Amino acid sequence: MPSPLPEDLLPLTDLAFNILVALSDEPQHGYALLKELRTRTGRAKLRTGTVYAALARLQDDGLVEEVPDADMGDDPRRRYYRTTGLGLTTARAEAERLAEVLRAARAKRLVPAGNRV
Amino acid sequence: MSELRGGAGGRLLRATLRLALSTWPAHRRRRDGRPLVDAFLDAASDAGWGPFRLSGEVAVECAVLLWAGVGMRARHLFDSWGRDLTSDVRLAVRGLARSPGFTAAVVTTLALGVGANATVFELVDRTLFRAPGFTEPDRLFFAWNSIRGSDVRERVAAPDVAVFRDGASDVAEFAFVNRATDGALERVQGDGAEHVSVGAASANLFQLLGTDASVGRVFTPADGPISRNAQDGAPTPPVVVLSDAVWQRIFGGDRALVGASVRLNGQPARVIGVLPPDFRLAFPPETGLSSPPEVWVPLRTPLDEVRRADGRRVDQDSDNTGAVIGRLAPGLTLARASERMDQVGARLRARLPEYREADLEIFLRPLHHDATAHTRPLLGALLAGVALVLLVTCLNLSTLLRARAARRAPELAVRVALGAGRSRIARRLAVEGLALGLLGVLCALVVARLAGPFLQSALPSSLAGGATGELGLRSFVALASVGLAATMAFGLLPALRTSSTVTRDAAGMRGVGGTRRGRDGLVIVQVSVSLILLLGVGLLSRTAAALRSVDPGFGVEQALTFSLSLRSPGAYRSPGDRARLMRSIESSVGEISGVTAVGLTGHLPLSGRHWTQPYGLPGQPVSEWARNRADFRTVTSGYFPAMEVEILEGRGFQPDEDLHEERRVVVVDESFARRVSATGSAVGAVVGIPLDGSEISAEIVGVVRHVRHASLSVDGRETVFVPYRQEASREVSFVVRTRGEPGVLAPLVRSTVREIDPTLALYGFETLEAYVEAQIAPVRFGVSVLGAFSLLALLAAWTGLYGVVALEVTSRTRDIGLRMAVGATRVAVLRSVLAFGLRLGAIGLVVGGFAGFALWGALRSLLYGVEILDPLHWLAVTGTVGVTVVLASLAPALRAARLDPTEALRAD
Repeated sequence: MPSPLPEDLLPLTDLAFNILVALSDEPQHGYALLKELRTRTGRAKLRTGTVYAALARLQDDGLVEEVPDADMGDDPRRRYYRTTGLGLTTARAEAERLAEVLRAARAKRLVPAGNRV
Repeated sequence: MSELRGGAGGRLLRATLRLALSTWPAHRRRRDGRPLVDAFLDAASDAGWGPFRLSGEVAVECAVLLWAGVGMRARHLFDSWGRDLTSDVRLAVRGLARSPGFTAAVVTTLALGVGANATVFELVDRTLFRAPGFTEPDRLFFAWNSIRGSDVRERVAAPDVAVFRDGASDVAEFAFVNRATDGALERVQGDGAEHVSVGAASANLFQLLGTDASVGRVFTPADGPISRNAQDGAPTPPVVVLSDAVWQRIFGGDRALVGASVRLNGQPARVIGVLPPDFRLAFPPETGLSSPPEVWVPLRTPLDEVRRADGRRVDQDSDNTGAVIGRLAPGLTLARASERMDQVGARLRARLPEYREADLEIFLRPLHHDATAHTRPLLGALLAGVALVLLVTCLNLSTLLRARAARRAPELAVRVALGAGRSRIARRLAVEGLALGLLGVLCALVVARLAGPFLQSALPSSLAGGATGELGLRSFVALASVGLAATMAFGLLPALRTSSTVTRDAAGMRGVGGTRRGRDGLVIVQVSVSLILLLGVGLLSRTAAALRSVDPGFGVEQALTFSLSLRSPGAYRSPGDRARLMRSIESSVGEISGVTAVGLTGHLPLSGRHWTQPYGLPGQPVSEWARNRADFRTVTSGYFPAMEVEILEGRGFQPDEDLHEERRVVVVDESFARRVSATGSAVGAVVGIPLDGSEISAEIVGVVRHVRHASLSVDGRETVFVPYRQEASREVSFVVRTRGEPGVLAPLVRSTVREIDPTLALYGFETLEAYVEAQIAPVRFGVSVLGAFSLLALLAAWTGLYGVVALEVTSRTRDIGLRMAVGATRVAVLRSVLAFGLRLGAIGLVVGGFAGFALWGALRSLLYGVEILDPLHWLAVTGTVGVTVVLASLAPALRAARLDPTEALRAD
């Protein structure tokens, strides 16, 4: 199957975008990812199954990959994940798209002054 | 919380989560299942949930996993179907392109079979089934007069319709359509008039039918009476309503025409509207409206004011009779209305001598059923024929697709071995079937589009009823669904069977392609269908031959006929004027070189028009006249020689008798003469005939050969010929007998008549031969269509039988080799293989014979002069199919006989 173009994958779901962002700088294992997501999205009740389902989809689409032979932490059974090149491009495209939306919102004064994001 | 990782509790948790994960696609489960469970357990241990909270969290987690799994499955299924479907389509197209022979065979079979079906279905649908563009057509009916206790039906006289209205207005509304007359229509004088059929209708006709004009308006009650210009009191031009066909054909669909003036029979008329294209008002032939009116004019006298003037004859030829169309009052049945019409009939019998003497009653028939009754047998035969063609088409498809499936069994087995599932294979085969079906339907559409106009042009006018040769939406949908259903049914079933056989026995490469009994059955059906169709072709062509060899009682060859219609009310008002005009036309045309005789008649034999009256045999009192009814014809002195009607006794008319009224003379035919005197001569006998409402006596001066007036297949009534002068009808047909080729004289005749009066509307120029041949047109049409069908069927039977016998030889190759090795001669092998084919053929012939007998027995009314069980005919037809059977079996049988035993034994 030919790999999809980033534009074909947009818009990303909120969760998928957050996963790509979380895994963009360094690989993480599932639980660490879950914790970061819970903190960043404010969804304290985010379920493991929900995150892994999104992760599975991202892997199938080639946006996230497992880091092979990773030996980075305390538990050898843990799998580490990172954002692929395609994932980074896609995340950038999504960020650009969101920035565009934000610009529009600001132009229409939907974003309160002094609360620059 | 390390116990969650290891201990019994941990194992239980893992098992539970894994159970929920089982809904996930395998690759994801394998890849992400374990890390997922680990992550959950890490989270659980960090959170430090108690057992109660933990079990709740696990339950929620399981629900999330299940839900996500279902979503993944659904997406996966959708994605893979979409992706695989594209690849299936690509593969199917590539596969079909790689076997062009097979593809061409299937597509041709579908195109011919389904295309023929759609064409005939369109014709039948248009004529019989499609709604005729009226409101609630089921509530409409025709009203007829009939002689009580007989099945002869007659047109109703216009004045009686007023009586119907008086007596039955609570059960039905009535409208009246005058029998169609011929007219000449042009935009401006000298534009070149086109011949049209003109119907005069009561002003309420369209309202009663529930039809509105597509452009302009239809008649209103005010259109009926002759209205006069307010200024000078001159009558205003009559209004006309055009059929869509005439509007398109003559005026190119010009909307500006509505409201404008045209010339009808040389007189100005104002077009007020155009009928919608789907308006089809068909009439039974007895109404004299067998060519449905294309131009409608209102009756000049409102129906309620038409009165039966004393002493005025109302006969079957006058303008005063026609078709009565009624619409039932809401909630009433035809039976209820019929009861009331019986009472009206009784009242008319009490009041009118005509009803009393002829013992007339009134009966009602559903409009659509009545109007199509005469076309139904032939259309039924065509429909049966085309259904058989469809059957053969499907059988052929089945054979072709099964053979392909059998050939591909090894390839499919390999695919199965490589891991393709059954559904995958079945789907690929189904996609291929669908692609074939679509291609076939597309080609069938082309065939139907080409065949439609062709069928249309070959269509006898009695069947044409508004057909355009174009494929309607219903026929298109029928065509597409039949084509696709046939391909899917006969493509998908073998595909499923193949795929199941293959998956059951992945290495098995034989035994696919249907059961042997199934194959044999197909061939038997193909042979019997060919026989049924050929029987029909034979019966119909013998009917055509029998009709052609019927002696109609007049000389068909070397004569020209044309008609003249004096429809403009102002010209030739008196019968004397008309008679003088006809005399001068006769004598001028008679002077044309090459013309040997000229005569005219009120209506030609076989024209579908008739004028039936009671008469009195010598000495019979008037009260008993009603028992006798004869066909009356008006003719001039030139008619008998021009038609070559043989004078058996006495003489024909003399020219001066046309004008002679003191001594009334008639000529009768031999049937009439036999009624007068079984043995002696009828000449000199005095018979009574009705004339202008009174009874007069007339002397028989001559006896002529009987002429078949009604139709070639019906002997018809006794006939009385009266001089044209007595009726001097406004419509006449001339017969011009010539020495040479009659057709070439038409322009000369036309210009000769124009010299007498350029405004006369002449039409219907044709040779008498062509005129008579047109009578046989429906039968000939049936022969050619069924002939084409039976050729298709015969070809299918040939290929089918050939295929089955060849397959038999292939599968028995070893067996044959063995038998040859132990001493069987080549002749014995030939005989045994041939016997196999002939046995199938023979069963087909027997089955087809019985079915053919039943089918053509049911359609007996189409046949004339031929017995269904005619031995010679059966011999010829079964012989033809039999020879096909022998030839189809012979080639594989010869191949079997030529087998080399040692080679054959080595065959696997």
